[in-house]
Amino acid sequence: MSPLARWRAGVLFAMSAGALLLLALAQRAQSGYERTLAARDATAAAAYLTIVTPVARRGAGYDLPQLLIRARALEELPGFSGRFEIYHATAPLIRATAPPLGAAALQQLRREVAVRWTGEAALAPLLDRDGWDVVGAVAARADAGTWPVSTWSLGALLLLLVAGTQSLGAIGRPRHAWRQSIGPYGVVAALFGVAVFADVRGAAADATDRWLYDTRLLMQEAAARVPEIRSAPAGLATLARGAEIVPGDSGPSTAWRRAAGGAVRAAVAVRLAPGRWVELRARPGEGEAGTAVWLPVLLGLAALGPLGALLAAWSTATAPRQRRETVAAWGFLAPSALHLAAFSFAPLLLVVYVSLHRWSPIEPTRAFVALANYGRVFRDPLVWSALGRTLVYALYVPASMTLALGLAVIIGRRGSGAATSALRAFFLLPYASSVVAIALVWQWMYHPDFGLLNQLLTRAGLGPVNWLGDPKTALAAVMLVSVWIHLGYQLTVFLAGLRAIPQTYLDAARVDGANAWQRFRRVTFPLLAPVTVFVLVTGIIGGFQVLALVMVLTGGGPLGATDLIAYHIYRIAWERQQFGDASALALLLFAVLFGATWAQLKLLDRRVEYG
Amino acid sequence: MGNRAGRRGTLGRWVSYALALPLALLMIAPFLYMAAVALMSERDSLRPPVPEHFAAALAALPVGRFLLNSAIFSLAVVAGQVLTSATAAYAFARLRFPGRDRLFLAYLCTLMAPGVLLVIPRFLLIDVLGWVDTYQGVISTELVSVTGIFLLRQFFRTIPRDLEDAARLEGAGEWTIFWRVIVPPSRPALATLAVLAFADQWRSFLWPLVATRSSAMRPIEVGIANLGGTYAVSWSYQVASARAAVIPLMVLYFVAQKYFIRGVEETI
Amino acid sequence: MASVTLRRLAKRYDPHGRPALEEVSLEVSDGEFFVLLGPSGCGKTTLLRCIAGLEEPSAGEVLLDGRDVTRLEPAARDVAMVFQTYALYPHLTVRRNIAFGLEVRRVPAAEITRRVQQAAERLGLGTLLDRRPGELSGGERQRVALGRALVREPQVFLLDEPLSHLEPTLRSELRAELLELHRALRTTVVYVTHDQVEAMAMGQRIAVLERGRLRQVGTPAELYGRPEDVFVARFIGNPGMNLLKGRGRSTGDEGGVVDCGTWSVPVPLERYEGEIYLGVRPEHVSLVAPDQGVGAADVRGVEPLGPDTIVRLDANGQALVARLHGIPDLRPGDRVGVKLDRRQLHLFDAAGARMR
Ligand SMILES: Nc1ncnc2c1ncn2[C@@H]1O[C@H](COP(=O)(O)OP(=O)(O)OP(=O)(O)O)[C@@H](O)[C@H]1O
Ligand SMILES: [Mg+2]
Repeated sequence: MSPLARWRAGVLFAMSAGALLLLALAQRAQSGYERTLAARDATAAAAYLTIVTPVARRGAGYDLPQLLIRARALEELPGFSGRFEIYHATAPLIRATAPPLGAAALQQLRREVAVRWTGEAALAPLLDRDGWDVVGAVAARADAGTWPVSTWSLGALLLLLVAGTQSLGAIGRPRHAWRQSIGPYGVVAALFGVAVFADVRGAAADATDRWLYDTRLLMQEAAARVPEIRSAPAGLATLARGAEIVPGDSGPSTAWRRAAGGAVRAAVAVRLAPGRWVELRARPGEGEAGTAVWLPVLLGLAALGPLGALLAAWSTATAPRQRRETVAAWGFLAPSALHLAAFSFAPLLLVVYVSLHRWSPIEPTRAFVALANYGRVFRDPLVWSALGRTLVYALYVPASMTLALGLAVIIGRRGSGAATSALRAFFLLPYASSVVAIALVWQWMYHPDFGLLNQLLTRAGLGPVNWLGDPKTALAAVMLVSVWIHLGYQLTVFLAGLRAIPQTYLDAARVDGANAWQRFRRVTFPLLAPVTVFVLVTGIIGGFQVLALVMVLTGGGPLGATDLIAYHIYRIAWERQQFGDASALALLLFAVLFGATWAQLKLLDRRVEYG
Repeated sequence: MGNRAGRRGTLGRWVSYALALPLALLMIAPFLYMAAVALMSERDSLRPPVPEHFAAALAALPVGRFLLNSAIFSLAVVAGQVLTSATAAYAFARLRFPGRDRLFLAYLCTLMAPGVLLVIPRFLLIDVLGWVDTYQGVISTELVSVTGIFLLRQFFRTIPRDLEDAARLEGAGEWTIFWRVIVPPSRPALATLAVLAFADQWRSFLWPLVATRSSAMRPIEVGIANLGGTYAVSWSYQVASARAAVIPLMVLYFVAQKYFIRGVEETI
Repeated sequence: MASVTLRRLAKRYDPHGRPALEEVSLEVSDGEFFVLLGPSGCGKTTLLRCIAGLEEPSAGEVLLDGRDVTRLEPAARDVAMVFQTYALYPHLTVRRNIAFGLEVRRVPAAEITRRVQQAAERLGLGTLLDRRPGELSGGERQRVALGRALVREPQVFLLDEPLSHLEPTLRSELRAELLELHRALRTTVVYVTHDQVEAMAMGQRIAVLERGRLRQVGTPAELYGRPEDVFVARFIGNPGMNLLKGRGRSTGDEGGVVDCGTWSVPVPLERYEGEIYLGVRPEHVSLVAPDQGVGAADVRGVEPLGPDTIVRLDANGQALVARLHGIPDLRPGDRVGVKLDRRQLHLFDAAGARMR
C-alpha cells in the first residue's frame, strides 16, 4: 500500500467514524429523551393514581375495583401519549392478558422506591396513599424513537458525502487544490453537526412538550375527580416532578416557551376548575435547556473528518523534513499550548460570556443581559472616580522614574563596579521582597501614634499626621510606598540602558566641549529614550493592576480614597459577588491596557541602533 | 593635568556616594524597622524589644503551614514553568513550522490580560473541576509562563544554529538536540527563569487568595494578609509573620542576586 | 568512501527571491579531494548543506555512491561536516565534543574511547582533551572540529571554509596537514573555500560557483589554462586574467584581428564580426620599446614582489596588468610598448563564454 493510499484509507476511516458516531450519538440522545419521558409519565401516572384512587375500607391498600376503573380510564384520556400497564402487586390491570410483573422486579421496587427499567419499559413504584408501601407499579413504554435525523440533517449528510469524497480525492494533490476542497468540507461538516444538534434539541423539546401536556392532562383529571385539589394545587406536586406549579393564567393546551428567572423555560397552562388556572413550568435546565452540552460534542465529532483530511493533505503535500519539524515543534509546544488554551484562552472567552450575563456565584440562574453590565459600569460614578484615582496614582511612575534616572546617571558612570552593584542591591531589595509584607511594614511605619514617620515628625515639632487614615493623604502615602518599591527596578533598567550606550559618544561630546548637563541632555537622555518609554508605559500599565498593596495597606479606604481600579474590580467580583459587572469592567480595562501596550510597541518600533 | 582630572573624578565619586547612600539607607529602613518591630510590643515600639513576641506569633498562627504551602506552590510552579517554557521556547526559537509567528503572537497576547480579569474565569474553571481550595487548583493555572518562554526564546536564539546542525548531522533527534545541545549552555537563563518564577510565585497574592479558602491551603502571603480579619492579633504579630514571609525571599535574593538583576535587565 | 553526484540541484530560500543554487550538476569521484570555489554569498555553504541533508533542495537529486539520498535525514547519510564556525559545543570538553556523535549513535563506551584516542593522536590533540572550546586557540578549535568529523569515519567529509578564520602562516601549515590526512585516509572530501590560491593548492578538481551557478569544473591546470568564461578567467589567478574589450573582424584564411582602440591584435579567428573579449594572463604580457609590439601603453603603477613585478598599465583607456621577471626600471608615467604572447591568447564572446 502506498503512503498516499494509507493516508486516504485513514482519512476515510476518520470521516466515516465521525459521521457514524455522530448519528449514533444523536440516536442515543433522542432515545434517552424518550426514556426520560416514559419514566416521567410512569411516575406521574403513579402519583395520579395515588391521588385519585379511594382507599379500601379495610387496610391501607387501594379499593381494587376503583383502582381498576381509574387505571383503565387513563387509556381513554384524549391525546395522552403514555402507553401504560398498571400492576396491582404483580397483576396487570389494564390488559388482563398481559404477562404479570415479575416478583423479583416488585421486590426491587419495594426496596429502592425509584423508577427502574425493565427492557423497554420504565417501571415506577405505585405507593399507597400514605406513601408507606409499594403496592404495585406503573409501567410506561418508551417510544422506540424515530429515524434519528430530520430531512435537513439528511440533506446535510448528502452534502457531506459529496464534500468528503471531493476532499478524499484532493489528498496528495498540490496545496491550492486541497485547500479548495477541504474548506467547503469543513463548512458542510459543521452544518451537519449543527443540523443533527437541532434534531437532538428538537427531540428534547418535543419530549418536554409531551411530558408537560401529559402532566397537564393528569392534573386536570385529578382536579376533576378530587375537588379539594382545586383550591390546593400544591397537592399535585408529586405529579409534576421536575416542574414547578405556579399561579397562572388561562392558556392553550400545548406547551409554550417563556423567559422566566433568567432562562427560557417550557410551560403549560393547567385548568383546575373553571376560572382556576395554574401554570406548570419546567425547572431551569430541564428539557432542551440541558442539550447545550451536546453541541460541542457533536461539532467535535463532525470535525473529525475534515481535520483528518487536512492533516493527510498537509502531510502528503509537505516535504518530509518540514513535516517532521512541524510534528516535533507541536510536540514541544503541546504542554504550553494546551495549558494556555485551557487556562488563558478559554477563560478569556468565558469572561466575555460572563460579562454578557447577570452572573453571581450565589444565584443559580444566569440571565443573558447583552451589554447591560457594560452600560452599568459605564454609568457608575464610582468606576469613573476609581479610574481617575488610578490615573493620579500612576503619576508615581514618572516621579520615581525621574529619581531612578538621576540616581542611575550619578552612580552609573562613576564609581567602581562593585560599589555601584552594592548600591543597586540595596535599591532592588524592596522589588525582590513580598508586597504583603511591605504593606504590613508600611502600615506600621505610617501608624498615627507609634509609627516611625510620625515619631520623627513629632520630634521635629510638625505634629502627627494620620497618613493612611486621612483621605487627603492616603493616596499620597500609597504612592510613596510604590515609589519605594519600584525605584530599584527602574534604577536597574536604567543602569542597563546606560551601559549599552557606547562611551565613545560621551567622549566625543566631551571633546566637543559639552559640560556634564549638556552631555546628559544631548547624548544620554535621547539615547535612553526607548528605555524611558518602556519604563513609563509598563509602569503605568502596572499601576492599573495594583491590587495587593492597597488591599492590605488601606483596604481601599479611607472613604474610598485609595480605591484603585483593579481593586475596585476585585471588590465588585468577590465582595459584591457581581461576576458579570466585574467581567465587563475588567474587559474594558483590558482593552485600554491592550491599546497602551500596542502603542508602546509602535513607539519602540524603531529601537536605537548604536553604530 | 591627569592628576587634576583624577582628583575631580574622585571628588565626583564621593559626591555621588554622598547623594546615593542616604537614599539607599532609606530603602532598607523599613526592613530594619520590620526586624525591630516584630520584637516589640504594640504599645512601646521604642522600648527594648521582647523576643518572645516572635515566638508567640509563630505559635498562635499556622505560619508553618503557610510557609509549607508557599514552598509547595512555588516549587511546583518553578518546575512546571521551567519545563514548559524551555520546550516551547525551543520550538519558537529553532523549529520552523507553519503559523509559528502567529502562534507566538497569540502567546504574547495573553501577557496583556490583567490578572484581575483572568481571576474570574479561572476561578469558575477550577470550581467546575472541583479544585477550589486544593493544591492543584492554585498550581495548575500557573504552570506556563509566557514571560519565561519569551526570555528563553531570546536566549536560545543566541545559540549558533550550526551547533544544532552539527548535532543533527551526527544523528541526534530533536529531543537530543534540545536536551544535550540547547539546554546545557542555557543554564544561566534557566536559572534566571527559575529564580524569578520562584519569587513571583512566592509573593503572588490575588490568585491564591481567590483559589483557596481554608487556612490549611493558604500560602504565607495570603495568610498574613488576612490575619487582621481572621485572628485579630496585634500588628507586632503580623509583622513577625511578615518577617517569616520575607526571610526566604531575602535569602534567595542575596544568594541569587545576579539572576534577579539579569531577569530585570532581560525585560527591556 | 563514496562518490557524490548532484543532479540539477536547485535551492531557493525565498520562493520569490533569487535562487541560492541553480541547476547544479556535479560528480565527485570516490576518494577525490574536490574543492568548491566561489566568492562570498555564491551558495557554497548552501550546496554543502544540501549534500549533508541540512537543507532540503527545491529540486534535483543528491546521490551518494549512486544511491539517491535526497529525502534522507542527515544522520542517515553518513557524511561529516566541519562548519565554517566550527560549531563546537561550548559546554562539553574536547573529548566529549569529539565523542558526541558516537554517543548519540550509542557506540559502546570502550569503542568511543579508542576512536577518540586515535583521532586525538592523529591531530595532535592529546593534551587538550579535557579543555573546553572556550579555552582553545583558533587552530586548535579547527582541529577539534576536524577530529569530531574524523572520529565518525564517514563516507564523505564536507569542509566549509575550515581555514578562513586562521592567520596566513597557520593556514598554509594546516593546508599541508589536511592534504596529508587525505592521503592517509583516502576519503572523499568536498572542500569549500573562497580563496582561489587555496583551491589551486589543494584541489584535485575544482568547481567554480558564481551566484548559484556552476561556471566550470576541472583540474587546477584546466581552470587556469582554459577558463570557460570571463568570470573564471578573472577569478582564477592572482592577479586574474587581463580582459580587453574590442571588436573582432576576420581577415580571411583562418585569421582575424581584434581592434582595441588603436591596437590591432592578430588572432586565430574565423568568420566573426562583433564585440569580443581578448584575454591574456599577466605573465604573457611583456613590455618592449614604445614603437614595438601591438601598441603602446602608459605605466600607471609598479608593484615589485621580489621575483616578479606587477606592472599596471593603461592601454587605450583599458586596464592591463603585466607580470615581469625581476624588478625592471619603470616608473609611473613611462610609455612602453606591449607585446602579447600569441599562443596564450583567450577569446570570449560578448556574453562572456569562451570561443572555440
Ligand atoms: N537560511 C537562509 N535563508 C535565506 N537565505 C539564505 C539562507 N542561507 C543562505 N542564504 C542566501 O543564499 C545565498 C548563498 O548563501 P551561502 O551561505 O550558501 O553562501 P556562501 O557561498 O557560503 O558564502 P560565504 O563564503 O560568505 O560563506 C546568499 O545570498 C544568502 O543570503
Ligand atoms: Mg558559507
